[in-house]
Amino acid sequence: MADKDLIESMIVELRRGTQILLVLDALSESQYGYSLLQKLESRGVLIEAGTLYPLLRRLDAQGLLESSWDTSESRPRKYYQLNKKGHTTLKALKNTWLTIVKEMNQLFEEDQQ
Amino acid sequence: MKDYVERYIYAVTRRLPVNARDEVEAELRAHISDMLSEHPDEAEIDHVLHDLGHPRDIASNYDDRKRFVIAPQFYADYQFALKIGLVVVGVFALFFSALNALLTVDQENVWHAIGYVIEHVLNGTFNAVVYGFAIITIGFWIVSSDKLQKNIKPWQMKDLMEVPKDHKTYAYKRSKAIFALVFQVIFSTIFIVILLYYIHQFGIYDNGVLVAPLFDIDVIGPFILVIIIAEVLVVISQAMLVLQRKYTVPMLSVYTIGKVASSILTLVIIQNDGFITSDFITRSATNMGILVADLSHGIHVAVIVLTVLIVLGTIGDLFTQWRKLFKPLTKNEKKA
Repeated sequence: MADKDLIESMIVELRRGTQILLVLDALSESQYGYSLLQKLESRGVLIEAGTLYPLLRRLDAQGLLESSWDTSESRPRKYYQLNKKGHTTLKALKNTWLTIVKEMNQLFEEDQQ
Repeated sequence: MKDYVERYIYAVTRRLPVNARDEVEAELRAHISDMLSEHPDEAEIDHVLHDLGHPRDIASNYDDRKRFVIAPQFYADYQFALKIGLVVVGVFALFFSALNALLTVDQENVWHAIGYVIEHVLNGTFNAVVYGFAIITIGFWIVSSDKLQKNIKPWQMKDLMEVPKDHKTYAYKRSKAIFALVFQVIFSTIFIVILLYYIHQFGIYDNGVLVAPLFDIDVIGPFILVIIIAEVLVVISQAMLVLQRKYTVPMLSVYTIGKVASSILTLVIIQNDGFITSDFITRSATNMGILVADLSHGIHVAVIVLTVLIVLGTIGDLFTQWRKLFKPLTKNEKKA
């Protein structure tokens, strides 16, 4: 149990790789920053606001998102949603993820036998 | 209240490239306003802003540019260059500023001269080390910059440095040697300054006029140059220790010659009855209210004691120094 911190930090590292996948998946529907944060939280995804908002900007700059300002209400909001390129990217990432999971499961099952 | 949100946004955007600031400002304001209730109090704002994290961190998340003075993969080389470079620059600066102090010291009395030497040597060395630090840092900044690294040829096996034979056996903590060298240089410089310029000022004064000098310059004079050379040899040996980082036969030989020469000279001088002027002895005896013969006798005894101390001290010192050449490393020094 002495290495609890070490294990904890490795788990965080492992989960970090899945963050983009989860964010892209949540952006299949149109979201603004805070609603996306809440959606992710409700799915049990641990991501900080200080990480998510800059990530949204980066994904937008990479051309994966469609973004637009809604100024009709008292609080202006910027909405984000996957565009075509975003959907293709998400699909490719999902496929890779499923392959990895399959390979890992096989590997670990062999270990247990 | 709103002021803190604006301050926070400014604290983030001022760290970003100019062309990204307006957009990030608008986005961040929208995000924060969504996280706050209609009329938030200070505690709520505090909570939300802390949830977002330090402005520096969030700014760094927004900024994709990799920016550093020394690229991380160059850092170990940089540290190594600093260690070697600053030691070499420091040692040379120490010698040059000491020499400079020797040539420019022109002070009213010996105390001012001592102050001048200490200030001059420390100041000169410090400045040189700071310049060295700046130059090495700027050099690495340029060399490790992305633009330069892109044009660099792939590395060759033959470029790899040969493994030094003794790379695991540094026998001496460098910080200790550096400290010793700085002190040695300052004290030697002061000693030489006194020998060259102020020794004739020692003596008994009457109303600010020197009436009885302490030393007979005719007796001491011929030896002064040799004493200075011996002193310089000792300093050079200390500098060798700093630069080579271990005791070597040449280093110890230089040290031994310097030490033995200065001890023998001191002995020769104090064995000469006339090295303290008879004027000084007579006046001191009168001032102290004792017989001149008694004082002379006292000086005679002191000379004998001093002779024994110098002989034993020199032998003991040389023995300890040479022993370090063969001494196995202590655990503490291995770490250095």
